[in-house]
Amino acid sequence: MNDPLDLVDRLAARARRHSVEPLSVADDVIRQLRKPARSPLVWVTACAVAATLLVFALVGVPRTEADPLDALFQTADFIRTEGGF
Amino acid sequence: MIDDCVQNDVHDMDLHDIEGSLRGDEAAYARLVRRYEPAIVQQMAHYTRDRGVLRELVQEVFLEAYRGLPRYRPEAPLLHWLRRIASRVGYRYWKVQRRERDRSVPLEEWHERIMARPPEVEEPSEAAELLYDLLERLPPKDRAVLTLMYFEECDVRMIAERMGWSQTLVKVRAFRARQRLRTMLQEIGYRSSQGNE
Repeated sequence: MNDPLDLVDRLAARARRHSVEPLSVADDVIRQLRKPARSPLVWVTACAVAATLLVFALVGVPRTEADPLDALFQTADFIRTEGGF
Repeated sequence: MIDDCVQNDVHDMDLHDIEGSLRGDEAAYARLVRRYEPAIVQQMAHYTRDRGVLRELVQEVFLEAYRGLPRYRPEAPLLHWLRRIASRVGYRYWKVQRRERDRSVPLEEWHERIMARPPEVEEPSEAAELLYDLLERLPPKDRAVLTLMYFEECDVRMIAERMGWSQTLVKVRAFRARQRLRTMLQEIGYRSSQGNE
């Protein structure tokens, strides 16, 4: 019995004559090179921003209507102001 | 002699365009891509039959080459260096593909096709497809070795260079891969004498 790999050798000899239809990628490659590279830092920043937004969405944004000084004067009743405005 | 002159001219043009590319000259890199894309397209066609994927793989080769350009040493022709990148890009693609799905046609179907007529009278495109179909059944490492061996006629040293493996490893893998192929063909009852009938 002959070696079955002879068939593969013969097939390969024939297959090597095959030439593929041309294809041009130069413009696409240059376009890709113009895109800014995404560094891991960009991904880390994007994840941090997303996590912060998620926390705000779940817990809510703290209300900051009152002026912190108002709160201080509200509690510090020992401070006396003289006269009116 | 003339061939040597042509080679030297190409090498000089390459060096000029590489220098330009490293300075950020897009036109210089586009010239390099256009000069070598026919060879790389031909090579990458051994890694996929899908035209869309082929385009992506060829692009990937040139993008990777651009990123690695500062490491290119001009002692070797640029095409050798590009082919090495291409072999690794193709091999990586197979490893991902293998994990996603296995699309081989049944071996019996392949056997019927090969028995229909001997390879010598087969259209080259058909022969390439049959060989691709057969090698597709192998694990990526075996397939990589045999693709370089059969489609590109690479010897052990060339395969070792392309894949970054030692020559001993290439020999062992090639032996095992061919053994696997032989067993596969024997299991479907192939006798090479049948192919000549």
